[in-house]
Amino acid sequence: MQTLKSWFSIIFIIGLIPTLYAETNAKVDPEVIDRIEEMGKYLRSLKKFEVESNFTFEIATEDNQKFSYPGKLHYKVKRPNKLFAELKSDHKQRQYYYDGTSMTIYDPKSKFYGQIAAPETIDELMEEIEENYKIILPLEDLFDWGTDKAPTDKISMATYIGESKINNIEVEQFVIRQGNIDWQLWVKKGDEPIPQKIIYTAIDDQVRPQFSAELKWTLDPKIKTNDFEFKPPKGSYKIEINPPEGDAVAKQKVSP
Amino acid sequence: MKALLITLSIFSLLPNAFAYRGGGIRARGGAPLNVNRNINVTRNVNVVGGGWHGYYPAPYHPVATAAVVTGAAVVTAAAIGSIVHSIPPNCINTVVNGVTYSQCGSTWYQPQYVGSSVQYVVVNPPK
Repeated sequence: MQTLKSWFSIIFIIGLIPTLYAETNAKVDPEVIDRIEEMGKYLRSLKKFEVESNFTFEIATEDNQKFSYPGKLHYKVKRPNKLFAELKSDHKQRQYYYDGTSMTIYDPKSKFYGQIAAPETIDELMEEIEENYKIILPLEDLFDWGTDKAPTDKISMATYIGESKINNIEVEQFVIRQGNIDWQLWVKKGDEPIPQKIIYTAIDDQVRPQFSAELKWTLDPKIKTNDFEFKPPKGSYKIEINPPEGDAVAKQKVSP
Repeated sequence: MKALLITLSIFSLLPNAFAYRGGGIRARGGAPLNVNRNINVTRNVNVVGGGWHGYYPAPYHPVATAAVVTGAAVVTAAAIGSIVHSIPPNCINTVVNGVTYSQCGSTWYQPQYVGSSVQYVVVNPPK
């Protein structure tokens, strides 16, 4: 009886080996996860920052052609409740102003702006505008790292690539996979682990479109309160902001 | 002539002209969006960036559910309630009873943000 029990134990253990092996998957380098967590923690610790970015964004067509367009992003941020973001691309120009009480979105081309009452923090704002209006700010990831919106346990692959330099800044390059996105991150070495370059690739798409952005950081920016206050430019008009879901039909007074 | 002008003004917003005309920009997952109306779709690229939120353009696409009118159709039949993503350049913005309108000849639009995109809803002239 005792022998039989031992045999069962052995069989049980042998059966377990592949599972254990799979769980301590060599595809996730724990050191890379550590670096990414450090980066997230550091990004979250910044009380204010300014970041400027040149990016290239690829779009796939039905015929599996890819095309790309360039653009620029600019963020000025003062935690917990001040944010300015500007997107300039061939297709779209937008400015976002958040002053702690309201958020304004402004299109300099059409000169239309929309305003909504805003919650008390940048984090809440981002959640709210995504939830209610499906608005996601460009490179919003910079605010997600280090929070439960960017859970590192959802990373299925993580590889250390090596060291390099971006704009003369020493960086380390990582590749991670999360869901259907492959990320390449170039993170500054030393005690300011900020991403200097990000590329993400949609791996669920046959032509694998990429978004690529280099980031220039100012960690002690000159910030004025009115950087975050929207003053309607001459010739601008206020319009409503509506969510994209359902039939977006303008409310119009119908004469009796 | 008027129709031609409007068509040109819409097309000139595109980068490499018609390289992807007829193709249609697809949403994530590959479903074609408004194959004949891809100009609107292209202009409507919603978000740049956001890896944790998925790759864009996608998954929130206003055009997919909205009634979209092509440039040519705007001239001939501006059905009340239909939505366009651009209007001719000669329109005038006015505020009536606190509401902003764009008036293009006899056609009136009410511009609105849908998400972060500006759309124009064809409306009856305000009174």
